Amino acid sequence: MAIWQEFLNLMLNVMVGLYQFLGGNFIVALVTFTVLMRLLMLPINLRQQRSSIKMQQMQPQVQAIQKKYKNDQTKMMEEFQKIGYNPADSLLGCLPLLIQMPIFFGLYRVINIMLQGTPLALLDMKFRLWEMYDLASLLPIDNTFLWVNLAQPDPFLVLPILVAGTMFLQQKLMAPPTSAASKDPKKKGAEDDNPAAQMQQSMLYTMPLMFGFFAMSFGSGLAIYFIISNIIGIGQGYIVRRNLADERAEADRMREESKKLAEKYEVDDAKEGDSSESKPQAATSNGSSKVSNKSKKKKKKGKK
Amino acid sequence: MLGHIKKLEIQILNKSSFIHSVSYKRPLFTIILLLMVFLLSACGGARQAGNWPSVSATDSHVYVAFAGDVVSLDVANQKEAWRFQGEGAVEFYAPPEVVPEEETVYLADFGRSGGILSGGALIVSMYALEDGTTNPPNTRWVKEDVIDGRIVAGLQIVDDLIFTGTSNNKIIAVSRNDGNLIWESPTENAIWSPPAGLNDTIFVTSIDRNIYAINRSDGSEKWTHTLNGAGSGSPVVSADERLVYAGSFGGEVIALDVDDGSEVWKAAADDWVWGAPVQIDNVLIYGDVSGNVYAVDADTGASIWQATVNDSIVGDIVADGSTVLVASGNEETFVGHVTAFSIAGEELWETQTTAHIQSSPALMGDSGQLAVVFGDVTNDVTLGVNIIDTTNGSIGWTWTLTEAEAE
Repeated sequence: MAIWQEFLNLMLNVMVGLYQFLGGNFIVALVTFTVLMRLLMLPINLRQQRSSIKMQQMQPQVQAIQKKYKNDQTKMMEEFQKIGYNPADSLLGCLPLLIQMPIFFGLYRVINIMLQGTPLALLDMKFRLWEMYDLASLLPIDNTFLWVNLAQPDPFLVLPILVAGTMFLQQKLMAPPTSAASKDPKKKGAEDDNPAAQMQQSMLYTMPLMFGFFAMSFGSGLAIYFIISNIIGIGQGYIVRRNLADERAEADRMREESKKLAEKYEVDDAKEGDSSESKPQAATSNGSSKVSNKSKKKKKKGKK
Repeated sequence: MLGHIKKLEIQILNKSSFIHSVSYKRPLFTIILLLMVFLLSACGGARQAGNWPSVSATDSHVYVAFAGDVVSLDVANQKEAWRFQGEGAVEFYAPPEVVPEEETVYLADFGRSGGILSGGALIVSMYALEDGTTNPPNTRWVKEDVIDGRIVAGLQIVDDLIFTGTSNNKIIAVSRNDGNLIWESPTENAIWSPPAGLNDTIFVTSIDRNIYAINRSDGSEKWTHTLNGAGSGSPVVSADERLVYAGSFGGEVIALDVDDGSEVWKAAADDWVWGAPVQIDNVLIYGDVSGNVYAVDADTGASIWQATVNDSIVGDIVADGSTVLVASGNEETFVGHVTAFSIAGEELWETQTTAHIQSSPALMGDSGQLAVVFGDVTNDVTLGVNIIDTTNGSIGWTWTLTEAEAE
């Protein structure tokens, strides 16, 4: 708790400092604060985007390994290591969001404290501020922007809609680009079997919804933080997408190689299945063989 | 650049892409996320518990407003007389205003969120409750559509009108009979304390650094005077009705002419003057957030004496006869004190209260008792009321909120 309070004090003092040095305009201070936060997050965001692309390209190969060694975890991990895949990397996708959570909760408190919804909030701010600030000279902190009171929700719902809209665009741009294979409805099933892709797709729609609802309930200052942050995220996503074009081409080439390797695993799997048909555990082997035969049929259909 | 953006828009809005991306193979994860959406969004309607409790009193009863409840305490019988709970996640920060002769308690709340379906609209209500033996008390009237800003300031009742200020920068007057809005007058920032009335004028301080003199009948502005800091405490009209006193966060108390708002004198303080001063005879006493108590000549502002109490003084200074009563609290140690001074500045007694005090104490008429509300729900410090004998500082009765009630 003490660490959290120190973190909160730091955020509050940074915001008050920005407010004081940027002409006493809360929105300008908030925009600057958001840009600073996004800059701090930039290395993690970039790493996450690159990692997502890499992970997506490896998926066919990963799934084939998972399928083949589903009963042998050790072997599965060995094979993952060979292709340079670390399952823990899939958690990296959540990292920017997880790191943002304390900032989000902290900023919620900071906005409430700074915009003096209550006398207690102001007294709290007085005791949290560093001695270098003369709070009395900064009061009153202007709590209005356009038509909204920054400490209260937007009564016309414009800001919540903007939060949801910009977050959707950002999510869409930050997500790994959809590969040509996944656009093919016949091969869509393979993507749907990928839990990371499923999670990303679900988050694409639920996260904007969730944050839109947040913005309906919380102060407009926080909604403006989200909108600015999302707009920066959209710009960042757009630029990163362009810059990663070459890497994507390379990744697509890797993906093709990965597919070939995956097919090799499937062929090996089918051979093992055929050789074990005569053994007593026929039920499992037959099942595996059926899957292989099905996949062979699919391949033939694909060729046609 | 625009071309690229256009392509991206088309890609995002592409219908077939949208249909393909919605898979029916991942219902569990989606359901969990949607549940999170609604559970977390519900937090918006939760109580914020963002302010301290407040107290008011009559000769026999004490009224406490905290979080979502208003409680009437029968001090003589040492029991809770009634408890009123607001609708939904509403909070009460303003002290109730009691009119004993008509057995009515007037209240205003800090508002509640109308919920997701209302788009998060804020609903602020004003109430007139029957102050009888019925528990919960009967409601004489409730008005939900009159006030559009949260109420922190208490109410001031003059004749048939109730005056108060809102957090969305308005001074308002409503009818005491039915709660209908009579007029509203704009300020530039929030109002945190009840107005003071004198004849056809009401005086209000605002966080916008101004003190306003408003015509009581129509809300028109008579004059304004800019203070050297935000104004949080109520103005006080002098005994001879010639001056109005107001403290500010700029660390001073100013005396203005009631007729035109011109400055008569001002006196300094070392820190923010948060609560209202009090006048006893020709002495004006005020306190600051650093715990300093100042006594100055009410006509000239000349210093008479100065003393110090243990903790921050945030509430009003009150007087019982010629005894000055100062409530103080420490936000870090959660310790509170009430200190009594004579009019000459001699410390008469000091009593440690059960927990820290943040709001103004309430004198119980002529009964020789002072009610202080201590603790707060926000910091999870036991909330309650100490009834203190103003002659010797002894605590006669302590009422506390049980843990279950606090939740």
